Parts: sequence; structure tokens; C-alpha cells
Amino acid sequence: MNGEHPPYREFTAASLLVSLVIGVAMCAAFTYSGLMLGFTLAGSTIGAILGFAFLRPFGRGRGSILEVNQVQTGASAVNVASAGAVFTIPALFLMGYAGEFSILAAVLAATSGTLLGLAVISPLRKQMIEMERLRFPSGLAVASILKTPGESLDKALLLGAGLLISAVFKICVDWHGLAEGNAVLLPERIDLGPLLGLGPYTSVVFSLSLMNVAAGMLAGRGGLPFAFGAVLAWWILAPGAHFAGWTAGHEGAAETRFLYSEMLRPLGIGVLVGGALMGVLLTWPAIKAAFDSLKRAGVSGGGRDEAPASFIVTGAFLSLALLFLAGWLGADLPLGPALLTAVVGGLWLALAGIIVAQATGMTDISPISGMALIACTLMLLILGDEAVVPTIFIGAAVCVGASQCADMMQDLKTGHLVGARPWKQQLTQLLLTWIGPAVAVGTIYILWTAGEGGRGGFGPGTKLPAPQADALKAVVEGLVKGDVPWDKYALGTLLGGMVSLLPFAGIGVLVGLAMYLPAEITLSYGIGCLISIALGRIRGRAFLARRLVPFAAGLILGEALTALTLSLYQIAGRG
Amino acid sequence: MNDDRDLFTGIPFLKPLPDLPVFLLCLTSLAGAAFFAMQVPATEPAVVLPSAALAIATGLLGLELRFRKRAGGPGKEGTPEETLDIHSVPAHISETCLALVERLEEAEEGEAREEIKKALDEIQIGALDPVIERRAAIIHQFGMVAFARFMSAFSRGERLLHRAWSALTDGHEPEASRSLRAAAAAFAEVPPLHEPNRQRG
Repeated sequence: MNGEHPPYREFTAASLLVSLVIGVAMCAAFTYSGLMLGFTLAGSTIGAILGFAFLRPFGRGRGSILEVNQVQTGASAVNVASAGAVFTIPALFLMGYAGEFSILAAVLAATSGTLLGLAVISPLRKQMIEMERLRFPSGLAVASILKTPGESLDKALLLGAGLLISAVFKICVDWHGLAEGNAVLLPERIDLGPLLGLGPYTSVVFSLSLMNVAAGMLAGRGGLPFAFGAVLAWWILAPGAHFAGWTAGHEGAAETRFLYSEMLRPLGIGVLVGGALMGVLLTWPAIKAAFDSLKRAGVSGGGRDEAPASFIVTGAFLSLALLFLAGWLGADLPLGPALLTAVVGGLWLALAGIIVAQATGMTDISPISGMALIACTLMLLILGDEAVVPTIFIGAAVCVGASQCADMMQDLKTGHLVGARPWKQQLTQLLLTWIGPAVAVGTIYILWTAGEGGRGGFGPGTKLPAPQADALKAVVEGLVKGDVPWDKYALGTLLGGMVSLLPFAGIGVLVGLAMYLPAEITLSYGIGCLISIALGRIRGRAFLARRLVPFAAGLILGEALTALTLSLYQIAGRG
Repeated sequence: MNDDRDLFTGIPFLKPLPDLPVFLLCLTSLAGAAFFAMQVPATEPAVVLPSAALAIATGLLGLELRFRKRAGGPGKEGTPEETLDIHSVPAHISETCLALVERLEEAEEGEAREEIKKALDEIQIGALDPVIERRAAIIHQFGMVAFARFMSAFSRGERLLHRAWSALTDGHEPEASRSLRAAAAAFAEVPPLHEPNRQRG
């Protein structure tokens, strides 16, 4: 081994610059697509692919796996604000508060969320990734992209085959919605209920999403409690409620909606909260040990591994100060309520961040809207029904912050799998993440003022219907009228805490998430778990690692990238 | 107190029952608690009290199962035919890493890359994954704190092996060599797992 080598590239000026460019572009584009289509996309996959494309051609060691890992981390750190902002801030415009709040304050609220998310989740890396070994299926898929240059041909082929199959499948499923007159090639879901002679109160529906099945494949046995939660919710509790006569007056699809929105979903939110709280209590010794190792600021191979404690404490105080300023100066709250709002909002954000990161780590699904709903409920309870602006600000902070927690932990999982230093990834996040809220909120403001007379640029009836924000508007209006299922939240929290005492990792969060989601998602995921278990028994553990993992990663990537392409196609068509 | 097993003492009147009936009882109380809570609104005492009581029963039964699992040792994952000598794995990986460093430094540039990457894949599947899959068994047998200390150093070593793989793929052998040495040191520092004191049980 004689050759001269420049230092191995990881955290570089080029990685920061490329992250910034890709991240800003994705954040603005996904905010726009979120207003149009009602969903946003994660940025890590695209960041990884573009990172190679931007850096690798320049040679001389540029575009190393770890440098591209930094690009993907930084780009998604900027982009992550788009999901939280597009769900919340436009609701203020749609509710007629356009002239009654400062855009800067909205940016401050979202920025405080992203910084607090970073501060909260950084010290939990060891716990979630090293101790609990959460799978983060999308994180694993991104690691597969990063490792492609060095993988053996058979693994690369499996990844490619998974990607291709999933892409073709996704196109077939979405074909009907792409243009008027297109035939239905594949339905979005298969409902076996009518075939089995079951009523609408028993959901035997499977979503035709290979990404969903692949997430279950990667989770294997550990994901079974999630499927069990769906069975409990939709095959036991829902029919029970029907036969007890609790759904009287609701027929057909209306009964399914009633069971879901009035019974299972609010109960599921409570179970999620209780499960997460008890999970923290039960794993406290391991969390404490992880914190102790942070204090020692572990170093390996000549550099720092973990974020220093001062970084976390400073970040937390700074973000709480921003949240306070957003309420005090931006929403005209008196000093006391502004302080209370910042403290309660910050505490809820921390818990919501842990819940969302855990749920994403176990299943690849984020219960972000449920967390925003609780945030809004808490704020209206504290501040009164008139305080809609600060309520939405806190909702935005929680959405952005909790998304940040899940995104960061997913990127740290990817980093672990390619050998990145966690501290370098955290530093990249810190340097770039505050830019995202300004881009996302700025894009929303520009699009709003692009309407006739400088207002009304999005909302129902326009080409940007903002469906998520419109849904939040309806929810907040319901909360203002006192339509809050406290009973479900409270009993669900107790139940979630108690279920977590069972000796199965993460069971409280998984059962809660299963009740919170429609059956079709959970049951498809369960199919993936069963496939993984069966293959493990027939072909052995090595087969899962060598064959199933790259194939499942390909399925996830194929659907994600095709969804992005089809979104762009739809936007171009409507533009 | 490092022995977190002492938190759980079990429910005496359930002792004659095997695990499966207790588990089914637990699921039944879970379903019952959730069922009562489904009512809209679930605010009447006649609804809240049974739901809360069944939820608490679920928790107690969960604790009982947890206690039994701990008292019974690591369970299926640790049965003799599947036994993996977890204590010797870190030292063995450490030695392998040092041997790989030696091979890498002896070889001409690029000559040993694929061979070492293959060896790293074998370490992952043959040594790291089996330990990680026994996570629950290790916690049950040695307690959460001992597991956390063990896994903290173990995972650092694992990450450094991934780093060596990435550096080899990028053709950066000095970084691969550094990472392998650091991984060897990390695995050498993995603290031994000690059985917690069972006398009080």
C-alpha cells in the first residue's frame, strides 16, 4: 500500500454547497407540489443520487461515499421544512388571517421547530440506532444507493430489479389518475371484504404499494405487532362496535369513516403518546448510559463521534427563545402566555419528535398530522379559542420539528451503515437546516400573493388546492367549537402505557400507529413481515441479508423515485 | 443499582399458569380496554372505569410476562443449539481486524481491496448480525445497563468496519487501514457482560 492519497473526503465545503443547492431547490419544489397534490417527498434519496452526479465526475477523491452521505444529509435537512410548513402555515391564509400575522414570525416558529428537533433527537442516536436497532427502511434504502459503487454485481442487480418492478407497478397503479380517459391498470387497493361477505365495519383492505410491503420485509418479525394492531382494530374492535350498535345511523362507507375518524384514530393517537412515554421510562437505563457516553464525547480514529452536550443545550435554549419570540412579537401574545406557549409547545415537540422518529424507524410511516393535532388542541386549551395564529405557529413548529427528528434519525441510520461520523452529519444539519423554513414559508407567501389582487393564490378552487392545510383548517375550526375527543386521548394514553409493559420492543407505539392508520397500509406492511419471516425460515438469515435487503431497498427506491417523477408530470400537466 | 430485573416481582396467583394463557389473558384485557374506550363519547363512569381497569390489568399481565421472560433466561434465542459465545465475539473480531490491516498494508495498492471487503461482509453476517439479533436475549440475561455498555462500544466498532468498507470502495486505503485499526480498538474495549446478582430474586 504505497500510493499518495489526499485526506478522505467527508465533511467538505463542496458537500455543504451542493447540499444547499439541492436542498433549497427540493424545498421550494416540494412546497409547491405539496400545495398542489397534498403530499411532499423525502429528500434523502434524491440528495444521494444528485450528490454522486454533482461530485463524482470531478475526480480526485470527490464524491466519496461519505461525502455524498453528507450531501444527502444536508439536502434533506433543508428540504424537511417543506412537509411541516405546507401542512400548517397555508391554513392561516385559508382561514382569513393573511394580514394578521408576520411572515417573519411564521419563519421563526418553523425555525425553532427544526432547531429544537435537532437538539432533542441528537442525543438519542445511540438509543434508537445502536440500542433499539430501529430499521428505518428508507434510511437503509438510501444506504443501498450510497454503497452501489462497491457492491457485488448480484446485489446491484437485485437492487435494480426491485427498483424496476416497483417503478412499473407504481406507474400501473397511478396510470388511471395521470390523465383523463386512462384505464385502470391496477387499483390502489384490494378490498377482500365484499368477497368474504363482510360488512364495511371489517376492513380487509390491502394497499397495492410495494414500498409498504418492502418496509414490512425489512422489519421482519419486529414489525408483527404493527400488523397485530391492525387486526385488533379492524377485525375485532370495529366489528365489536358495529354489533354493539355504536355506529347506528352510519351506513356503508360512512360507517367505515365514522369508525376510523371518531373511534380508532383518536384512540390510536392516545395509544401512541402513552406507548412512547412508557417506552422512554422503560429504556431509561439505556438512555442514561447513552447520555453518559455523550458526556465522555467518544472519539474514534482521530475525531469526535458525537455532538457535544453544549451543542444540544444551546440548540434547545435558542429554539425555545425563537418560539417565544414568534408568539410574543409575531402573534401579539402577552409575555406570560408567550412563555407558557413556548415551554408547553417545546415539551410537546420533544415528545412528538421521539414518537415520530420511533414510528418512522419501525415502520417508515410518520404520524405527523396526529402530533400536530394534539399540539393545536393543547394550544387552544391554554390560550383560548381566539388564539388561532399562535396555535398554528406551534402546530408548524411541531410538524417541522418532528419531521426533522425522523429525517435526522433516518440519515444517521444511513450514516451508520456507511460508516459516517455522526457528529459530522449533525454539524451539516445544524449549518443548513435553519434555511429550510425560510424557503418553505417564503414559497408559500409568494404563491399566496401571486393570486388575483395579491391574495388567494392557493386554496380550494384554485390550481393549488392545498388539501392538507384545508384539512387542518377544518380540524382547527372543529377544535374551536369544542370538538375534542379528550376521552379517547386519555384512555388511549393509559392503554398505550400499559401495553408497553408487555415484553415486546415498541409494542405500544406500533399498536397505536396501527389504530391511527387506515387498515390498508398496516395490512400490506404485515404481508411484508410474513414474507420476511417465511424466507428467513426457508432460506436462512444470510439470505435475508444478502438477497432480501437489497431487493426490498430497490422496491422502496423505485416507488419513491417514480412518485417524484409522476408528481412532476402532473404539475407540468396542470401548469 | 444495575440490576433492573429487581423492578419486577410477578403476580403470585398466576404462577401455576403457563405463559400462553397469561398472554391470551393479556390480549383479551387489551381488547376489552380498547373496546370500551371506542364508545362515543367515552366519558361516562360506566365506560371509563371498565376501560381503565382493563388497561391496568393489561399492564399488570404484561409485567408478569416480562418477569417470567427474565426469570426464565434468554429463551429460544439462547438455547444451546443456537448458542453463540457472545463474550468471545468482540475479541475475535478485533483480532480479525488487525489481521486485515496487516494484509492491506502488505499488499500492493488495490490488490487486496475486494478480498478485504469480502472479509468485512463475512464479519457482518457471521459475527455482527448474530450478536445484534440476540439483543433481546442479552438484555434479558445481563440487564439493560450492561447491554447498553456492551452495545455502545460494539456499535462503534461496527460503524468503523462500515467506514473501512466505504473507504476501500472509494480506493482510499489509508483511511480503510485507520478505520480497521480503530475498529479493532473499539472491539477490544467492549466491556465483558456479567450476570447480574440474582440472589434477591
